[in-house]
Amino acid sequence: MKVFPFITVLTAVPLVMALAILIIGDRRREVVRGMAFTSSFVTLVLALMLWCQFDLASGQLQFQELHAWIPSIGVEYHVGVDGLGIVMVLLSAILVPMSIAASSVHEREGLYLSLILFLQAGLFGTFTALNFFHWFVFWELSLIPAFFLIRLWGGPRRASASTQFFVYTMVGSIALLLGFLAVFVYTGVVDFARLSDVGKSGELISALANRPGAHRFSPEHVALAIFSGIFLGFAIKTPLIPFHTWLPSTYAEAPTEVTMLLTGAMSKMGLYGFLRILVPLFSAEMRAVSTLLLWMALATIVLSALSALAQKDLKRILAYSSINHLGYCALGIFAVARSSSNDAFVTDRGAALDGAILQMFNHGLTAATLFWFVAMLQKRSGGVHGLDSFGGLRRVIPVFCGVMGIALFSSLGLPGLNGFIGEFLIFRGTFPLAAWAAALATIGLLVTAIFILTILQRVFMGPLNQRWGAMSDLSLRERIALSVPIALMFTLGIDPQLMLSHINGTVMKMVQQVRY
Amino acid sequence: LVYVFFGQSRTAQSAGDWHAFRGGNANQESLKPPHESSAIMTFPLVVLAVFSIALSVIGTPVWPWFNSFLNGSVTTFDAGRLSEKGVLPVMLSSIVIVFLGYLVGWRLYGMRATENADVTDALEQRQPKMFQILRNGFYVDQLYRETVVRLVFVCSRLCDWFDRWVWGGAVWSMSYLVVAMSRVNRMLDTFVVNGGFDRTCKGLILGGSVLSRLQNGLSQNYLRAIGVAFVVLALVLLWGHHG
Repeated sequence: MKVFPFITVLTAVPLVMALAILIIGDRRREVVRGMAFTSSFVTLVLALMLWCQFDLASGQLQFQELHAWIPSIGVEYHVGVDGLGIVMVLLSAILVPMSIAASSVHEREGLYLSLILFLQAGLFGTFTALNFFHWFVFWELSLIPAFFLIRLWGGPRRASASTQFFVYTMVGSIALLLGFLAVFVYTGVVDFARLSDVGKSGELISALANRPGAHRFSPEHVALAIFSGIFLGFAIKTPLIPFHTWLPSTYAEAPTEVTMLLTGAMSKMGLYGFLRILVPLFSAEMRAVSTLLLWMALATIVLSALSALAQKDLKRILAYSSINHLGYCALGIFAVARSSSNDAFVTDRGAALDGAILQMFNHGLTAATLFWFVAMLQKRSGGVHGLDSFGGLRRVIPVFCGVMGIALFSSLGLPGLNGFIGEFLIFRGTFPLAAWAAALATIGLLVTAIFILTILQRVFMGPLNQRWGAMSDLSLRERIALSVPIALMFTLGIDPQLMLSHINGTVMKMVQQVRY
Repeated sequence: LVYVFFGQSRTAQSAGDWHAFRGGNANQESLKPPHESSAIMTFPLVVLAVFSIALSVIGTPVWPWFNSFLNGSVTTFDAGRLSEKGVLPVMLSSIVIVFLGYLVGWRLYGMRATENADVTDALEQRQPKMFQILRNGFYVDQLYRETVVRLVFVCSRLCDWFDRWVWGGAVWSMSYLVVAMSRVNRMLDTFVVNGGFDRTCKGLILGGSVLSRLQNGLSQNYLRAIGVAFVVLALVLLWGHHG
């Protein structure tokens, strides 16, 4: 029986719609906007169908489609999702309609919307491709529309921000490509599932030991060099400190609706790469440098939280907050690489990975919602987004304040909201594996609480800034639109099992598969 | 605790809030003093108290439900765990300490109602120094402000500076270096590689034009050249012979 190609359709819908919108252009604004909404709605429905039909008992890849593409070099059209992929697909499918709903672009709207849909296709492709060649095409495809979205519709310093974003991520991509070329040259494998076996069986080290000129550098050193290249690509994309300097300026200068996608979905590409490629293929190398990796994750958590506290711009605060939250995911992933045996700490490693994946989804949802609020504030204030530019808004926009407060508390990790359980599981898993790292990471929690409460205090509390005395509260339309992410925050906070049931099978498989 | 739930109101507003909260008229009821704090404070406190008591039950060794939830294990209610070594003394001593606190509170504030907020506190009358320490919460806030808060803000400024000038500076330095290298490369390209190539081409063109004048197809020019060559050859031979 032929299975419906869900994933191909899921990726093709935004691609086709993007092309159609590009052809129609800006002549019929309402039509292109309707088309973009329809596309994002259709993909959301498809993603939900995937979600509902996903076999929870299986940790294996599902909805797989496999077709020969370039057989001579082993390139195939191979797509599929497991617990990790399905969560990322759902996240991307939720965020794009949110971003379109939030957008208030009027200039060249057709081009803008088509680039958003190209970006969505890139995200879907990245999170579902199971062959390096295919995956890399989509990895790069998502970069190009993001660059143009920042460059054409960004803030006053968009030129330098977009160039920095592009050059940084290109450097990462080149490092990634070189690393993968080396893997391909020595193993002849580009399929992720097969690469996972190569990593587990130690085939890569054997292949490196048999390479020409093997006497000059040991296979372990060459493997470490290849690992470093691939790691750099993902570390820039995540980003981890010290490869993060592109992010604050990019998030601050990009249109806020685009930042919703950058922080919500694109920032997960790096973490996804760590989990999909680096952990299964280079687990031994990760373990060899696990202390360094944990220090990087800690620096990402603590230094970014402290930097957020010193910012005077709402978008920059949330940008650093984003780095901080992704640091927790990295902490969970790197802690897993630390354990020394396959049998010990299985539950802890499972908890850390469960937490990392859950936190990826939760951060995507919460961070995008927070940027949505900033977009609405900008829309009401004529583009203002300084931390001290507001004050006392609670009196004029109480509903706005209350709902944004929920999102802020979710970001803070308040129990009962989605932000709590992911962080809790990460700490739960990390503590037995690297107690010192878990203990030091709590500094980030403290500082996060301070800067989140500072936002609430400076923007909404205190005496009202009379300039905003006539600011309008959330409209009915905005309340309805925002009710979706807010409801999700509560739902996942109260019943995280809804998400964990999809993740857990894959995580346990990952834990079993990893070679130490 | 005694003050919160049974003390005399020190503000008319708080009493008014309570009656407004219960559906009464805030203005009429404002002088009636049922509580120290406003309803907005006491009501959540009651909720918290109820849940604290409930959690303390499920947190005891008799039924450590929360621990088992965190550990992923299954637990049952077992009163026998109370007899385990050290369990009962710890529980009882905690209860005794709490009730001692109640007793002290009741003796200080409960036995004799405070007439109004301006009256000197009962503890302040007896132990002014201790009262100061307690009023300032053991100076924990001050200590916290001067240590943790100050440190966090200094660190945050330092991190921001580091981010802008060290990490960012390294990136900008690298990009300026790349730009400078590309300019040097362009200059080398323009003035050395392309310049040398252009000069060579010009030399070839010049040489070619000179040669083209010599090789113009006129036989008298060739004969003239042969004649000049003969003269030069003869002079060289004669000079060589004399030498």
